[in-house]
Amino acid sequence: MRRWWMVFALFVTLSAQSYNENILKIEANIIPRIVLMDYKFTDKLHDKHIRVLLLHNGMDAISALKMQNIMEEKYPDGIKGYALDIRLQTYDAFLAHPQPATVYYLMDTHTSTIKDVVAIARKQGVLTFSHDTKNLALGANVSLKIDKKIIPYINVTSLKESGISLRPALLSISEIYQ
Amino acid sequence: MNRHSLVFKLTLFLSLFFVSVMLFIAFANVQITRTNLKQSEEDKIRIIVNTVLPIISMNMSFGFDEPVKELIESLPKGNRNILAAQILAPNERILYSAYTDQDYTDIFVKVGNGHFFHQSDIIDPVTGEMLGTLRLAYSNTYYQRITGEYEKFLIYTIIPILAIFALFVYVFYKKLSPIRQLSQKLATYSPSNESGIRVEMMRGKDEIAVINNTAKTMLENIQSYTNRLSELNQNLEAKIRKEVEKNREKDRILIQQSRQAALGEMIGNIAHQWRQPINALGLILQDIEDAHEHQELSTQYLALSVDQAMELISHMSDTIDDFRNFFLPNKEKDLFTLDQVINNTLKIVGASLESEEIHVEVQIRDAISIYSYQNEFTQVFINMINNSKDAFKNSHRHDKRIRIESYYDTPHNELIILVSDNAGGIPEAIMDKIFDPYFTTKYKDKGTGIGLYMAKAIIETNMGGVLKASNTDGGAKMLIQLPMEAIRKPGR
Repeated sequence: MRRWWMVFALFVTLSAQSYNENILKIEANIIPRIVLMDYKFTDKLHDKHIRVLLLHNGMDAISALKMQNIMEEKYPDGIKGYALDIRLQTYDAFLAHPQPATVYYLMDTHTSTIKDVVAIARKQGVLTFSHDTKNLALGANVSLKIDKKIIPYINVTSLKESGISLRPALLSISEIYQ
Repeated sequence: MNRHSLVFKLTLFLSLFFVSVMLFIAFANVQITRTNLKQSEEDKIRIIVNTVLPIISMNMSFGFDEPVKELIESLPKGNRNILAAQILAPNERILYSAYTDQDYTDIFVKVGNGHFFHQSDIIDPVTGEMLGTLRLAYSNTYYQRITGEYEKFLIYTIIPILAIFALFVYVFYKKLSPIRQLSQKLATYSPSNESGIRVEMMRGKDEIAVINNTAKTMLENIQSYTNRLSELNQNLEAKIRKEVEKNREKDRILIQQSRQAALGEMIGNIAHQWRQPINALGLILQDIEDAHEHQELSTQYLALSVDQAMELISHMSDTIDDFRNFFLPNKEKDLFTLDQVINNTLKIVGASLESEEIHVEVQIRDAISIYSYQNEFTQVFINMINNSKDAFKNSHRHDKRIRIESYYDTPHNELIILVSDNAGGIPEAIMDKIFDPYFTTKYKDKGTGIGLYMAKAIIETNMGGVLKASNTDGGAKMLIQLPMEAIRKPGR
């Protein structure tokens, strides 16, 4: 039994995506701010809270937890008078019972899962922020392009399909995903 | 240049006005240009800030340092007029900075260098929080170059304009030169100056030529008229002398006529004066004859009769002397009193007045000496009294009175003499004519019409007084006013 447990742990460790903490910090800083750039974010509050739902695979639970901690540390009092409600949910649980939120943070998973989540989010008109820029091709709304400098990367088409309008100030510093 | 000259004033006014206007336009132009240029430069800065500030604020909001740093550094590189760009934290700490040159690192400290400065708060577009301050120093080189070039342009424009204006003033001054010279000549011109002034004829038909040539013609005409006037004056003087001589001759004739008329009166008066003594003399002679017939003519009786006759003859001789004295012309003024004049008058006309039963009242309140021609003054009284005497002939009054009174009018410092009668007065219709020469209401054989005319002439022309006539209740009144200055002997 112990051997099987160790094999499982090794598998999980090897399978788990490596998340750069600095990038997580940047994303933790940006995500609530991008929410406020949505013209209609007040329609998407839950109990007057900005609810950030961190979607992850089971193996990324630690990173998701870390992300939650960073965000709570960054915004202990919320932002612009709005408290943050940061929650974690696995993709499987979400697809089974989608939990409503103000923004979905998409951690790495299968392409099909991303597509499914994006479809749900599009129906709800909820903003999706993807850790990986590749997910923009799958319909995620916003990501961060990390090169020599970090800039927001926005899929304008998917935003339009989701009925989300972001303030031009954000667009002025962002790169548009073609 | 004469500062009273119209040309000088006009030139000065035009020059001051033109220079003032040009300076004002230049100054206003420079000010407007500077203001507009400054506004333009500030607009440029504002555009730059409005362009970069949202990007900076957004990046700072997201915590993207690199884009902000890159943007700040790109500002002086992209626009050489941006000398320095800084982003300060709310605590004034410099977060990002970029400079065109290291000399500008303290440009925000050294104020008053003429550059443009701009400062804007960086507000978090998400939260509205103050993220910091963006400061820009913008070069004034362009501004100074453009304003300098514009000022040069203005100077280069104004100098030719001023030169043209100076030329205009010079031409204007030269053009008006004939008028100026003409005015100087006219200022010294006098028609009595025989040499006159010389004005050159100008060619052309402009206003200046017309004025000059007209003035020349006028001066020539004036000179011609002056010469003619001078000749006329000389002739006139001769004419006046001739007319004066004529008038004097006329006066002499008038006086002669007056004397002759008076002589007629005098002869009548002498006849009146002599009638009684002649009768008495005749009676004395008859008495001597009777006394001789009756052997009563003693030596003593004859002597008494001769004495009586001689007294009568003496009286008659005095009468002749009185008349002779009156007819002797006064060659010089002498000092006399009104009493003397009235006594002389009454000696001459007294007998005729008595025969007409005309009573004369004399009241002289102030004994004032008169320095004038006594006989002429006596003739005045004789004429007035004769007029009254003639008037009584038509009045049929029994109480015929002539009143002579005189007094000194202190307020007016003049001697007043009133000669009035109760002979009915002067008809109003002829009141204004009684002093006219040859005007008379008497028959031709009795009046010459020069009595009152002569009286007025003597009083007013010779004695400097005034003679007026008016009516009283029952008669006429002659008023003589003699100013004391006119009748006072000089030196008294």
